[in-house]
Amino acid sequence: MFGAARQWAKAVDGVSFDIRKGEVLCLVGESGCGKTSTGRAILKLTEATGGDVFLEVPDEEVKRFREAASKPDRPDSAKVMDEVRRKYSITWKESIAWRWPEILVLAAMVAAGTLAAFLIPALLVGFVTDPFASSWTTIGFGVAVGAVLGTVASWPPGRPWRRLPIVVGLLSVILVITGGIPTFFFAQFVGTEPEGPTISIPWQRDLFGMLLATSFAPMFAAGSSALVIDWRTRTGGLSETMQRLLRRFQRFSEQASAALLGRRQPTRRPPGIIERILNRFRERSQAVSMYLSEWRKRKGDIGGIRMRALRRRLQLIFQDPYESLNPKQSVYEIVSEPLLVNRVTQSPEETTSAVLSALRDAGLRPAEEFVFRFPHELSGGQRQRVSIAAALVLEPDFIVADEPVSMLDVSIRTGILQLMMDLRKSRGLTYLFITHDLGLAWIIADRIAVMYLGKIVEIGTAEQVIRQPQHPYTRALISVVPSPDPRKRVERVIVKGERPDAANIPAGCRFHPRCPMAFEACGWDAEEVAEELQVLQAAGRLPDVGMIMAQGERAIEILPAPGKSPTDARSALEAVLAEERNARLALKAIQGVRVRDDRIILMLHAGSAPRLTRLAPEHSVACHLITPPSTASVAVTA
Amino acid sequence: MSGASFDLREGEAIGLAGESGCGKTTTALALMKLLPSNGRIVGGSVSFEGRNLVRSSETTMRKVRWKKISIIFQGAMNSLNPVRRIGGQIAEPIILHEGATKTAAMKRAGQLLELCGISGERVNDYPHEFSGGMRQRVMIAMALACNPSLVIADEPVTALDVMIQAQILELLERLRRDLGLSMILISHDLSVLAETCNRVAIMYAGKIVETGLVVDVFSDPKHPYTQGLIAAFPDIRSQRVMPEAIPGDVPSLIAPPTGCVFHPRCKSAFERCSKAEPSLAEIAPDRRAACFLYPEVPEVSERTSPLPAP
Repeated sequence: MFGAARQWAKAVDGVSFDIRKGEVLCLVGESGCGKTSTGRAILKLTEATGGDVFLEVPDEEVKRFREAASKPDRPDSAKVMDEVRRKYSITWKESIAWRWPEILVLAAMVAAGTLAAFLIPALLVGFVTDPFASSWTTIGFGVAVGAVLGTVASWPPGRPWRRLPIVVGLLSVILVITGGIPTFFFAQFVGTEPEGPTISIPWQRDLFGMLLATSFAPMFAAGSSALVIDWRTRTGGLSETMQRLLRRFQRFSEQASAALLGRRQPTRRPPGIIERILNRFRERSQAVSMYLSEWRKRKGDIGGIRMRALRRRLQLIFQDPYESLNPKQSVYEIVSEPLLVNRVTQSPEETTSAVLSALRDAGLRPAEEFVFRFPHELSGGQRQRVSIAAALVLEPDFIVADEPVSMLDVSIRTGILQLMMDLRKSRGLTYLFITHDLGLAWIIADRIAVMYLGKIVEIGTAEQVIRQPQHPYTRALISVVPSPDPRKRVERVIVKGERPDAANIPAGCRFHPRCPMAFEACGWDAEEVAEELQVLQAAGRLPDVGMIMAQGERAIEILPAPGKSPTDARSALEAVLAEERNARLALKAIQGVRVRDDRIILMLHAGSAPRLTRLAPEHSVACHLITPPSTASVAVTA
Repeated sequence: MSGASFDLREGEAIGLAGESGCGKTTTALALMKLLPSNGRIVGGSVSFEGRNLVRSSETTMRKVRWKKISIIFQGAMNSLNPVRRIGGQIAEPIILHEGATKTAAMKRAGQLLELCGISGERVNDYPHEFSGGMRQRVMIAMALACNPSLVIADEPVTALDVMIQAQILELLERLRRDLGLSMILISHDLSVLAETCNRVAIMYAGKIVETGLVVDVFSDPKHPYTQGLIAAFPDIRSQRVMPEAIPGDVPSLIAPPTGCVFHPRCKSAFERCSKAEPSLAEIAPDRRAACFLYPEVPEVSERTSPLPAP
């Protein structure tokens, strides 16, 4: 409602690849091509705007998914896709609006459950003890037992104690208002006969019952609500509106609590006992509101719940060991943190032994000597080994290694690479290795994916990509990689210009403005061609031509120079175009030159973005040169 | 740093290679007497066009810097003044060293930019309007401002992408050819030096351990460290083998190992290596190495006497 709507620039788009178990896939590209964003999106460290990351998905399911995705108009394809996603996707979020039958069933379930939880313990208690026979108090007591049972039974797995105080607190308040007070008044009318030995005055007795009911009933309500929420998250997230409302409420409550509790003490004398209590209360309430917001955030997000379990199995090694380690933490703290956060180990001894074995595996021996060191006491190579140990300690299956050796000296670099490859063998690890260094990719990768400006342009086995590169960008990139052997110098293909801004991506093939082999179908637009013509004009090659203007995407309007006839200007222009076509590739996009009224109209070929197409087993390339676009898409759309 | 000795002929490019902390940048700064206040030249000589720069006064050095020898500093992309237009920054040394008028200096700045592949109209732009590679070109233009005969480039392509790296290296090569520059190229990346220099000096822990023509050094490295360093580089044009690691870490320069500084990490170290220090000596025509594996290499006999403190 207020402020600007968020806009997305699709910097990384249409990137699709698979990593097989035990494989090293290298993601190679220049800086800003989206390698790191891709790696982070896979681990859900950046939220992708679309697309799926499947984990441990069988081949036939992938096939089923792809088939459904390629035929979006078939009636069951959406259902099939959702089915596969529900089982294997770690990025997928499902948002289903509440339907009436669902709400009714749910309400009935909660009502029946509540009733059972009220009555069964009440009956039991009544039969066994009979302390407050046939009184509302008995029901209250029953509620208490039911609440405890219900909570224990239905609380979702994970770390329930973290959420307990908030849920109980919140629901107590609600239930005192909605449940307790009506119970009290109702009791005034119904339970009028004084019974039982201890409490004889009716209103006192009923108050006791009410208190019991209201203090324990929330537990039951919490249990059942957790059940409801758990059920919702299993089948789908909360609706968008609900999420928005919650978020708004959360912001409001944060602001309100800040306004109420965040005021500073006016005096500077040491805090008295009351202030200390108040401070403590303030801290606690802030912590509670933090938990609360975290808890709310998680609710709509089915992936988030699964992701917590998966985090252990998917780990990341960062680029710069000088930046990624906390200088205030010892090696022990750094390496043990993942264990504690994920509640993997049960005792300090277990933690210590896990840390030591991870350090040993990472090549820091004797591990006992490194445990109490701080990052500044370690060399660059040792720091990176600590990072690796911190990733290994959870015994992951899959590691995204984001430029793990680019900050290290060559003589140390090999040691780290060797270690990573050894671990792959001994632990069956799978790597997504992100690097800008093709030489490095060549050494370690099973398969290489080359990225340019957020797209994969070529993917294949290391042999295929390095020895038989097909895409012009890959070819150029390989030719400029310097080699330490001066005898093996090859002719460098230096691509002109620099990478375009990712917020303003060229149409068609993203590489075409820099491509040395671009041709008609690569997606030139009128602006680009007009610019090229203006350069020619500035160089004095087009004396017969006046103003050059781009008209929309596919047409350019040219005025003849004053005193020239359009037909003469046209033939002069055509001659120059034929001459310059091979030097200025943008001119290849001109399909026809014609004269309309007093001006010349240039029509351009239609272009399209090339799709990643399979050339050979494992080897796919996205380039129109290799897989010419079908004639239909080149057809003129003037 | 000690025993870093090399010579550079006119129009030639020499590469200084080595790992971080081996003293490449210190060598460059010492050549121009630009060492920070906690550094001092205690001995040795730098002879440039017939005069010893180490013994020259600060006034003479001021005349030499930028007019004769200029330097492209490490991390140059971030060393432009962000609040001044680049034209003014390039023109400043021209005005200071050559006494040119402001208009003439600005005109020259435009020409220099054109020379480095940037449109001359961009003299009035600010550094943030340029990309990393373009800023590096500006820095190169600035180094060329007073027509120096020697340019020292300290890690000129380190933070750049391979494609931009290739563009910059090609530019440096072209400038060297067209302007007849001599060049000292400092890089940790051996393969960059292999592609651009005529000669190369490999440094380790403050010493030059091997020098020679690029082709010779790379095809037949003599010093074990050079051998290890070359073997540690992955080569995209050869077999898919894991490069070899050099065991151990770079030694501390405060307490260097006795004898040859490399002997604790050296595969072929023998008894003499830990006792005596080899000096850089000619072992083949135009080829020098500091290693006892070659019988003609003598021990370092006496230390050069320190200069009187200034």
